[in-house]
Amino acid sequence: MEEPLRQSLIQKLTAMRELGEEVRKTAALPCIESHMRFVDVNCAQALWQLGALDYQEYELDYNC
Amino acid sequence: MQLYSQRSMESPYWNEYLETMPREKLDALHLRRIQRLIKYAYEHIPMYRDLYDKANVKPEDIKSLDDFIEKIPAIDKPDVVRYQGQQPPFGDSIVKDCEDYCSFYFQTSGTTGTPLKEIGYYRDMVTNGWVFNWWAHGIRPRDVIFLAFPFGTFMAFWSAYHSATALGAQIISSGGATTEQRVKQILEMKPTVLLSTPTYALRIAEVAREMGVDASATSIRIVSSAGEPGYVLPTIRESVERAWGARAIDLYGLSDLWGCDAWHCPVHLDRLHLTETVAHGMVLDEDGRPVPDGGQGEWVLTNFVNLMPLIKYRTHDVVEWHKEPCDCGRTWIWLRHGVLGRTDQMVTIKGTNVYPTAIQSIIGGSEGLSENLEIHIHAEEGGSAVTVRVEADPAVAGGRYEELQTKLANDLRYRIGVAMKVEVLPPRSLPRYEMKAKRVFDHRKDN
Repeated sequence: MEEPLRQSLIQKLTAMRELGEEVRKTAALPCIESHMRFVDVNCAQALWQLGALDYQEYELDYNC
Repeated sequence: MQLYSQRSMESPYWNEYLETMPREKLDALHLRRIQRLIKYAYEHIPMYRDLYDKANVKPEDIKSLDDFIEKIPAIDKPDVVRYQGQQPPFGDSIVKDCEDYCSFYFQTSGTTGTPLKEIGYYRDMVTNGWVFNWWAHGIRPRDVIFLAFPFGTFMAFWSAYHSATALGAQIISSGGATTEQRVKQILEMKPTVLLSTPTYALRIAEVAREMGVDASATSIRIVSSAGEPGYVLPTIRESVERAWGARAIDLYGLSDLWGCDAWHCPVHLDRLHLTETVAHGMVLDEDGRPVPDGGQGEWVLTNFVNLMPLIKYRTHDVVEWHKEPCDCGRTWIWLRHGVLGRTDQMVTIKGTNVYPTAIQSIIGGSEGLSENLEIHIHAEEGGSAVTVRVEADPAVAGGRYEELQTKLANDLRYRIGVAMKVEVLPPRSLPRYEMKAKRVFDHRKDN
């Protein structure tokens, strides 16, 4: 896979995670947090399939 | 590690934004969704184009909810089954050329006739009401949900499975296990929530007792049920809560409508809230006119799904609906005592309309009788007649059956106002069910 595409996806995932953080801090809507979690899981899984390395680290360390 | 933010964990709402939205705003949202849905259905689902052309109505004619009620024709299960039958399996009842998006197939249980075939996209599955119900009643990701369900083509608990995933709870699916094996699994795995039909929750407790296990001493703290008239009726709720030493919470769903459902209010146990994120509900009288707030009539639903939406679908369930905000803080429509009966199972005896659920409720509160019963409806000159067959409680001596029979017949006559034939039977005389129990046998069309 082309590196620029992977980098672009990583940036998007990072932005999406920041959005997820914002939702957790401000909304207090479990349903939104649940759906954001699945977006995150799917994006992270997509990156894993593109050779990214942070998927498992994220799964183990993500604690906010 | 915690899956949700602390504020979410403490929230009594799965989605406070929509669950507490003022009625005016909620109705405006429904109108926007209905307008989009009707346009989408008219353009992509041949059944609706056919129905609406025959009714001489176009999507752009729907400018208000009143237009929706007055101009859009209601549909019934036989209508959809007929469209499906013209070109099986789904015919013109689903979105054209949607094969790539078909994720799940189910069919209705066939309790009231030919099963309806249902096809849905993944999104249709993850947006139902189970999770709203569970969150409202304090179920959180640390709970362990035990699914006592055979996982066939009946949708009911499949949607619960996906809701448990959405919530983040641990799931134990006891697929093909026997009841005895399920009791052993509950003892071994210590789930905190049991999911089954009300009848089967009682059956598991009965088998546990035969195995020398006290169900009320197990790890189960909540019994969450659907599929039959359930815990919104006090007598059924109390028998399950007694058997399991747990809180019993109810969910009324229609698999026809992709699990579009109403569920147990955490404050008023005689109320069910419609999940207004997935459906629009209204109550109509026999002539299709809207019944005012607080009145009783037929529950007519529209579900917001992708492949096979059902628009103004007649459920034949009779409900009493209320639109005023509930003390739990929700603005979602609530139904008092859930489903009061079915329009197609109403029995008129000497001018009095009787629903089998009313009979079931009285039997549930009768000393010495079990919850295993059958209600047989027969045609009789001048109306209908009802025979009630009910098993005695195992602790009751055979010599008391006649006394219980007379007492129940008197109770039914006094509380419902008409005479019914009653037979009290020894325990285990009637069949047991793992899914929906068949309680009502309508013989009026047999001849």
